[in-house]
Amino acid sequence: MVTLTIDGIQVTVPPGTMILEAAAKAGIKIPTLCNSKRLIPFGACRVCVVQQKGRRGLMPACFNPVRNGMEILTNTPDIIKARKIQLQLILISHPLDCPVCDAGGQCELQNLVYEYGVSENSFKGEKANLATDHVSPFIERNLNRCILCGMCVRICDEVVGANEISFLNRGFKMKIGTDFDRPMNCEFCGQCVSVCPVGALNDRMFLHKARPWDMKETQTICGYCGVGCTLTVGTKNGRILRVRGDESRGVNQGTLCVKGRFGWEYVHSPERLTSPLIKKDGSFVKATWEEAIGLVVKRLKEIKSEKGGSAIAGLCSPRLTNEELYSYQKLMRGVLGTNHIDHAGGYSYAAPLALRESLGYAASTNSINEIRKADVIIALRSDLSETHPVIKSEGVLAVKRRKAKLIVVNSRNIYLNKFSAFNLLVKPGSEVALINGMMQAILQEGLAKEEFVSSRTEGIEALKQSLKNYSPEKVEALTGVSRASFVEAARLFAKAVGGVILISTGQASEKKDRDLALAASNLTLLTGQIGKENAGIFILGEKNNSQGALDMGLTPGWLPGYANLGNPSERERFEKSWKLSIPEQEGMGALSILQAAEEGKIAGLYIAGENPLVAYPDSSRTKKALAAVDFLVVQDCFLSETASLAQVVLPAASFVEKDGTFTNADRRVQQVRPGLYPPGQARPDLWIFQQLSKSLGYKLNDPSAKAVMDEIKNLVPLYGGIDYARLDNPLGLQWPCSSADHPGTPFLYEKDFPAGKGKFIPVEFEEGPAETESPWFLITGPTMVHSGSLSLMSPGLTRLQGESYVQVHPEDARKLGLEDNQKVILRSKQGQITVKTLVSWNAAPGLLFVPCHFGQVGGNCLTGRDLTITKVQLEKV
Amino acid sequence: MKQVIVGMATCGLSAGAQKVYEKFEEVIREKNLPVTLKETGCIGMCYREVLVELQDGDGQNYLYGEVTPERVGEIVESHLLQNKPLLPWVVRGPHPTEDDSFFVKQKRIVLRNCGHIDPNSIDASIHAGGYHALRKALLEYSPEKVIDEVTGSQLRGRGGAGFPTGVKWGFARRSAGDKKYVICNADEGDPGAFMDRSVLEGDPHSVIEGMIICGYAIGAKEGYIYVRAEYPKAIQRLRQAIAQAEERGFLGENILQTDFRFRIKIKEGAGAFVCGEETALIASIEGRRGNPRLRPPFPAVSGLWGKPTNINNVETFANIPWIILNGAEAFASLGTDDSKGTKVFALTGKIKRGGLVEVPMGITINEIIYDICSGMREGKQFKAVQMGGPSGGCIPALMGQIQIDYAQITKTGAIMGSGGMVVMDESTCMVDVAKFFLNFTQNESCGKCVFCRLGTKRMLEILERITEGKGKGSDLDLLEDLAQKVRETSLCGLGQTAPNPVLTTLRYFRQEYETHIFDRKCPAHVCSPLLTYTILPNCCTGCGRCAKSCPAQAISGERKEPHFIQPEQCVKCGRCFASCSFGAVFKD
Repeated sequence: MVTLTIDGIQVTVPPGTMILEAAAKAGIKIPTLCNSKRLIPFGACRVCVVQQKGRRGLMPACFNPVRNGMEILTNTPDIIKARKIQLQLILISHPLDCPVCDAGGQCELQNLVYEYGVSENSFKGEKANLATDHVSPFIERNLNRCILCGMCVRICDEVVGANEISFLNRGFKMKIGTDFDRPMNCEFCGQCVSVCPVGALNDRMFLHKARPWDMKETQTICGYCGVGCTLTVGTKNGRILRVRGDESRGVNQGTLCVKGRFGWEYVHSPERLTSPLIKKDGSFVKATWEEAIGLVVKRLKEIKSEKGGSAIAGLCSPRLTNEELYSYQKLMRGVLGTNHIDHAGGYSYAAPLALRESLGYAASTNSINEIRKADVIIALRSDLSETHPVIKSEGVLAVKRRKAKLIVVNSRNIYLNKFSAFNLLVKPGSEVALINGMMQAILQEGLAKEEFVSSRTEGIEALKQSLKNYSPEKVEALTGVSRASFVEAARLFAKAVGGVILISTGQASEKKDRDLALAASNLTLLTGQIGKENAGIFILGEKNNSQGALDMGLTPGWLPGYANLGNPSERERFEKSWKLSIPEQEGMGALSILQAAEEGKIAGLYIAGENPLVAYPDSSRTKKALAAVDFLVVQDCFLSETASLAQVVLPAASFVEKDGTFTNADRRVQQVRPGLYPPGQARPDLWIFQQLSKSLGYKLNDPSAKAVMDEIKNLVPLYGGIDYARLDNPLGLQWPCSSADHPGTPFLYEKDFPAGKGKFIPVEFEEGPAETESPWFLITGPTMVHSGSLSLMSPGLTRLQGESYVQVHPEDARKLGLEDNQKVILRSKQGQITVKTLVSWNAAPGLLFVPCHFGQVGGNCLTGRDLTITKVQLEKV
Repeated sequence: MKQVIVGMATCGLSAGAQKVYEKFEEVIREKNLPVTLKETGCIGMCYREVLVELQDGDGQNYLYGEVTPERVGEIVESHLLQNKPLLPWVVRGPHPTEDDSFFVKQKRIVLRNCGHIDPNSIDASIHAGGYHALRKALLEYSPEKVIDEVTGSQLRGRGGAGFPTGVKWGFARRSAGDKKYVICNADEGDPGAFMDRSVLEGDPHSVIEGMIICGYAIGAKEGYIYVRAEYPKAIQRLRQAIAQAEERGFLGENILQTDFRFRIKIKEGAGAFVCGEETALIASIEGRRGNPRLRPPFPAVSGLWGKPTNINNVETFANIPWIILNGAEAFASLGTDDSKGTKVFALTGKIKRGGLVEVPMGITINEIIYDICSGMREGKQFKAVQMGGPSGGCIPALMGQIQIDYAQITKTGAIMGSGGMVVMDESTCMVDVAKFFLNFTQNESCGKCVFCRLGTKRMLEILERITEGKGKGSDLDLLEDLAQKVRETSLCGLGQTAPNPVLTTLRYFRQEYETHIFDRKCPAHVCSPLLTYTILPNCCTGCGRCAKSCPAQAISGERKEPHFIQPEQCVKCGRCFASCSFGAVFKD
């Protein structure tokens, strides 16, 4: 540790700390215009100059490390003079249009000018006169206000990795811009806007909407993907005006993606449901809650008494809060007497459950912010820049700051390759073979962590036996990846101090998720990359509460907290607490429910937040199934494709309109806080479940989300120590958190595995059936701009990407004579769609990509319920 | 065998050496003479370009100066055919000439081969001792011993800052890393400096040899030469020299049958002055914007591609082979306590003999100006010398006794710099000089640090104001304040030294500034807005030439009668002054 004094205050900090941070620790604020803890010190603004006693001259505090015995002065007349001159120099060309500048009130320059009382200027000069960028989506660039601190350029490079903007020109003519001053065409994550200390980069949606101090800001959790970013939602007069990230809160540390920052417009969409709807004579009629709930209760009661609870099924979205999900399954199981409940298609959570088999817990093993400290990262079938852009930033930080090696295993040339040391382009679906090949190489080269394997795992012999079939030559043939590169990648991972595997999952997952996760788990067990910091496996769920949905037992076979439904004592524990009985029989999964519905075995289906018609495979069959259900209730924010088939539609609140918790991809339970009231008669899902239950004659639980969490923590040991008082912190709590004094668990399996040892579970690669009729492999998935149905209701996002497309590799396009933006027909066994082409190097030869949303022309019109990789035919229109 | 050697460095070429060479070629072919025609690099006497050396059969060398294609025939006829040297044109030869004094006080280590050997031929270089030092270093010395030798020579970096080279190599050697790099900084950008260009054009192998030795010493296997694209001849010679060295096995695998390997790549700069700063230079090689970055980490720890990197200037590398061959003591015996060896200077400005000189450290400025360069042209007074380019400062004539030595030069407020010396006489306005250099740095600032980007711009505006006669009494204080802050708060050498020309001229020539401000006069008659032109009636013959030349119709007068100038119409272009044959136009 180093001890120094700053303005007479003694402070002790670790070596390598910069004077600026040390001063902050001593409670002294040194002004700065170009420093952020998210960025590497740059030293451009020179406002942070300080003096060291006994030395001449001024030195910037932001990049001068502390030394023992230093005496630093931060406020001498010389320093104040330098700062004043500096502010004067900046103010010569700065426009001083503060009254109409959006940064007014939160502008660092304004604050400093105020603090130093710079009212006169001894210098004269012209005001900057550069064109303002009124064209770029979401981001307005007013270069005249720019003070060239470079924070936008740096965050775009260091954290986002997009390098969209840069310094142009030199010296006095320097400015920040894109190549040839074109409008921006990037990820539109808005990180640049978030770091701008002045009003040069502005959130276009927020322009001239409000003064910062006039808004109410609410800290909540993003409702899109499983990363669980903390959002600071600014509202005024019942409307969201701005969403920003706060660098001192959350796993995202201020970083957001385009959806999180700019994708909230759906909340105020005129299409929002504001009243319950009842279908009469084929069309919807507005109804009161009493009427709607009355009808639902009446019909469900009838079905239950006529056909039994097993004729009722439920599909619920992992977008709901833990409290809602818990209450939903309680309602379905206990009150309606059915175990036919599921979420997310019933298949996209196979990966976490696989980890439960091999390791013990059905979740990521480590914390998201550890990814940036890893040395080797394998992005396994994960197009992170599209699915989880904030996790991509963790990878970028690791690669750029720590020189970590990124190994991309994908069947497409994804954007992440820009940062990769190895791009292992596999044949579609052969990832498991590749991982097996890597493990075999590790075994053959003696790189396995013998001590870890022998002391902490079991089943190594079976694994060795099964891996014998995966010689480098064979794996090369199976995957199409050269042995030299995957063997070298295997060596890297085995030797890494911290090796991380990232797997993204979602409704576009395929059947092999279980195998993929087990292969990853085998690899980490073999190399000892588990049970320690900065290593492990991450299962990145597609939805904001994918993890919570599993934790809360939204599955046919698991009760909340992974209590086994088949185990009478477990069941009894819940029955006792609920004072209800739970059917013994394990329920059906989502796809089986649809199958049963098609066969007329499901009379009542209660869908909360899900949109199976778009999100589940084989849309035409899904439609048939839904149409065959006697009584379909859909609860949603919008009249989705699925909702339009329903008999009763219940209007639900969005994530900014309710209380509760989400559990993110690193097991982090975080509090969701309402910033708005729901529009019209829309209500939080929890309220709806409770009202339904009440009308069915059972008080589900106490009304508040907090009370529901108290109920959960008593039944779910993983959540045992989680209560709202403890959650009121910037980082939430990570389960397992067994008791009120348990600090939460940043990474799992440090000392032991729940079952004692980690299990090797060998997985074999199975080649799909050869199909010659349909020559093209089809991959579907979310895109960076859209995820599911909600984002499509945000006009800003749809302006970026408004319609479906098929991504075709340029070589294939050339062979087929296809151009960009040309209509083609894709046809599979399940159906056909007509979409426009997008010729892109991000596809791979022989492989097409179609986004999985966009209703009638989305990828799920083509995919099949067998969940294998779809093959399609492609025809020009 | 008789030889004709033409000085074909950029200095020679711009004086017309190409035509002279072609003419020799033509005449020799026509007459079918048994004469070899060769090129060589800069001989140093740029004031006598085009220079041609004639080696006649008797082993006598004659250096002809100011050779034109027209004179070629005569030289061939008289000297080559009739063996009668044309002595009036000979600037150096067996007989004493007035130009001999140019060489007397010089000591040539870096320029040992410049102007003597054919830079196109590796054999010529080897014959002159090239790659002998490499052999010695590789076969007889351990890397540590090489570093000891360089450290012992007390050689300091010749790029300007003067950091001890051996110490720097030691840092790079001790830095752990699987890969290390050697970079030669040949981004010579100071106005008036051409030392590095001359060395690269005249003796590229010495630099390459120095780099290979450095690579051996620090454990690097790859080197880069960052050379500005404005030096096409140097680039061409370097490429050729690298190819030759590869062919002979001095570069590549198993150099001299050892297991040492080394390769050199050339990276052409794109014209940014700031890329001469080492961290900006490294960024530029990496393909990034040439912005300086924070140090530490220093390049010796984390340089090119994040690997330990040793970066030295051209002249530093060119010294290395000599030091290895002649020993550290021989080098350290030259110069002063503080500064050892020699220093190459490029002399330009108002001196009689401009050119490239190499002098032992410790020589005085006066010796360079008067003894080597023979004083000012047109009998004018020596006023000041600007050392160190835009980062340096002006040393006044009164301090001519100052020795060339890092510490002493620094004391004056100037810096040793890379070796540009711009000599000024009484007709130079010091405010104008400060303005010139500040304009240069202001344009070349990368724009990162606020003070360097905005402060230099405002300083320049103040100087412009002063030279336009709009200066205010408070301007000098403001200028000093700003200069001080720019110096103290800039990140890299460019900003930290940019105010030096202003600060030194203010220190030594403050009165000149004050005259500009308070008297609205430019004592050197340079700042045109401050001049007044009047016609002396007693000298004016009324010829009317001045009136005809005046673009503003400010001059009127009857024919054969004294004319006069309307001051309010005069645009101070000075055409009347130039057009008058009677000295009747008076400039003040």
